Amino acid sequence: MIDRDPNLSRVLKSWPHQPPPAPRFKAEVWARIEAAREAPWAAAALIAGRLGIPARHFRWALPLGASLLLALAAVAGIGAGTLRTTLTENNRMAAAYVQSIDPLQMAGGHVD
Amino acid sequence: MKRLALFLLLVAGVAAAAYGVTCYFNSRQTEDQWTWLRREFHLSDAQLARIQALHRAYEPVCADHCRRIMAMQKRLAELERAGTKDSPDYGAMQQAWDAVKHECNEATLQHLRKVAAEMDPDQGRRYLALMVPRISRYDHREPRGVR
Repeated sequence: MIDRDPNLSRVLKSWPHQPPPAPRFKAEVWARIEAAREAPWAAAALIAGRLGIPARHFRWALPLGASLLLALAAVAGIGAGTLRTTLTENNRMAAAYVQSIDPLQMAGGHVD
Repeated sequence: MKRLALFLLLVAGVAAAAYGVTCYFNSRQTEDQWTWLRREFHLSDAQLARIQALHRAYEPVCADHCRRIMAMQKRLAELERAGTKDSPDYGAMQQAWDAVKHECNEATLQHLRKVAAEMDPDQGRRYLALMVPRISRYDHREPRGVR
């Protein structure tokens, strides 16, 4: 029905619609490109993006895999340290304990 | 490639730092003997009390052995200094020394077994496995301190 209206078709054809350019359109596009380039896989940047925090604050954030590897390295270091100190402490305490009940070891320390 | 190497270096650094900090802080925490024994072998209050009683009962025995050992070591050292290593006196003293060592070892082992018997079976076995080698590895071939 509408297509057949010649007046409307003419009006639509002659209607010069020129929307006003969005303010800071280019700047925002470049900001997104830069953010994607600087922190492409950073989980922090993704989360921050959802929270509305600019990704540029996370330009030094590591990719998720790298962050996990670093966390794993820290956990492994703590585990190894705990294991070592536990073993060392157990050996030291056991030696001191036996020395306190073994007269041969006790006397050994007293004789010139 | 350079970034990967730097990152791996960072990973190694983080692991080493975590290890070092853990060792440092854990080594600063010191326990007394009873606290350690209780924690390490999961002792109950009753078990700990019985083990402490065993230790108190063993103390005079241990002190007596200690006195005899020191007296013998002193005597053996005197004989060695006098150059009488080939004398019958020295041989007899050496035999007596071996007997005392054997007696002391047996007494210590018996005490350890009594303590282990107060623990849960698994913990008792672990206790003996940890303690007995520290007695057995003692050099039994010659008197300590006599050189």
